[in-house]
Amino acid sequence: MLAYVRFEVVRVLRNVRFLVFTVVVPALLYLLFDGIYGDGRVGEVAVGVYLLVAMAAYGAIGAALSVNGSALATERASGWLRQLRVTPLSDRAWLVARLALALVAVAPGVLAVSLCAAVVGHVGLDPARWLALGGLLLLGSLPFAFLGMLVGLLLDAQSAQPAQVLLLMLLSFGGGLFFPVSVFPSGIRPIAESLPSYHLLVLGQEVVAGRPLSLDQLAGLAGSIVLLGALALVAWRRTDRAGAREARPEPGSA
Amino acid sequence: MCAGVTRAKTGGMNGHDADGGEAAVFEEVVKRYGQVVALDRLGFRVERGEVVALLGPNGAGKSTAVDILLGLRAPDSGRVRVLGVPPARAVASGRVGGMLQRGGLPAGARVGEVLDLARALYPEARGREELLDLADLAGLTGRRVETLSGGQAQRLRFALALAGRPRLLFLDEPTVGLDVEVRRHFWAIVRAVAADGTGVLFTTHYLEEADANADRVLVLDRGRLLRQGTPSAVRAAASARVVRCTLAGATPDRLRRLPGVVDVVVHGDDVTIRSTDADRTVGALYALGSEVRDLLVTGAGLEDAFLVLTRGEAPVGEGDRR
Repeated sequence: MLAYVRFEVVRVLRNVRFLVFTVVVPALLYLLFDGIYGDGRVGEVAVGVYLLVAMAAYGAIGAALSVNGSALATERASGWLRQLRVTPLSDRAWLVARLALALVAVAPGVLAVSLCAAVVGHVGLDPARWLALGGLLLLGSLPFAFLGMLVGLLLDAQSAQPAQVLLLMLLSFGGGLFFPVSVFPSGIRPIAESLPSYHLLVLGQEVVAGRPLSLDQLAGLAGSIVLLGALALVAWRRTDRAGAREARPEPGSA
Repeated sequence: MCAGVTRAKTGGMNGHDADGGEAAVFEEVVKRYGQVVALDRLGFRVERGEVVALLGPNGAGKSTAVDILLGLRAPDSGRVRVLGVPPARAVASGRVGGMLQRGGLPAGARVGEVLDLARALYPEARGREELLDLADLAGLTGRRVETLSGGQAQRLRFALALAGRPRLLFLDEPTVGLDVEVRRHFWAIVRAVAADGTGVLFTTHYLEEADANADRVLVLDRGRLLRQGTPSAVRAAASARVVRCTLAGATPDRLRRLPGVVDVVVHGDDVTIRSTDADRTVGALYALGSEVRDLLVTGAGLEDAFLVLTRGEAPVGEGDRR
């Protein structure tokens, strides 16, 4: 299983498209917004610090979605998953490996945004808090890894890509990564505040501020992990990952 | 690949025991998709050390049988054993190798990385050099899989199938995209692997390949085993003959109505007829009234026999089925 994770990690890190969207774009957005609003504050928080959490979360969500989203849909279509199923790699090991892969894939974006925050944004943070933020973003990416898996298992290769971009947009705008939820119309706010991306953002702000984590946010994030995890598991059980469905003889020809 | 053959012939290729025994057994296997019966009490065996071709027209149930053999699907009823255990367990134990027709390769990975992954997944994996040698991939290890030619990709799939020293090796259309020279080497390797005690089952659309390389042929039709035996026995059982002649103004429709005729090909005045009863076909040809010239009756190849068998025209002797 470790060999499989390592194999996939190398592939992911070699994927220029993936790196641009989950490392370069979040880092550039950090620099852009920090340049525009650098002296301002979001509530109590300096913009540079708010952006550190928001953009790192944005990169993390995108990475977790895509390694199990369109990438998975493509492998399903090509028959690579079918080939893997004829090896001793068990279904369970495969599932665990894909989740591990999502968490590893989150790291480069978080690192890049952190570097921008430290060097350009002059965010001085206790290394322990910085580490805690990294840990939170890694584990907090689990719901998005599950969501990506749902996309990759249920949609075909053509629709998985746009669906994944749409989800990323909804989650990042809706969860307040680009504009604080406080500016949203009051009708939308309850919905926005129930998104896992919002929970991740709030928890991240609490970590960098050194405040105790709020339990309702933790519960919300845990809830989305359980819900999406359960859905992904059902999809994983039901879907023909081996692509045998396409190999099935046409009705009438058998 | 040459080096691999040499090594195989000297007997050092494979460490495992070369005893006999069954590689795969199907007994009374039934699989339905809704109303459609894909497999209708299918039964066959593949012994270890044996190379067996699985033939049948499209829709005969081959892909369903293969999916069940590899543990990717469960049969509705019947008994399936691979190396003495249920298919999924045999696959999990790493004793099954599969070269899949739609076995996509992971874009972005290098050839060497794919091989190393396969070697890490199987408990009794072959060495990297040995695999490169067997599948003739030396010099390609640094290449990304998406840049491989069709033949090179096919050789990489072959290497994946061989990586775990399988006792049952399944090859789905293995020589598609390989040129003639590479094809010959490929079959030499397959023979060597079989000689080491591996049961080999393959499908192919090139029936002359089955004729030349299979110890035994299984002909599937409508989900059942229509015929099995050595390629020559299957040819004989179909009692197929090829009748060639030159005939002015021949129309395929008219020729098809002659006794014994299974298949007709007309190019200008050149006529090729596949028949199960050449004597009567020839007699009827002369009775058509046009001048028959350059008549030639030959024994049929496996392909002709296959056509005769699966078009339902041949007398199907129960005694030929096991």
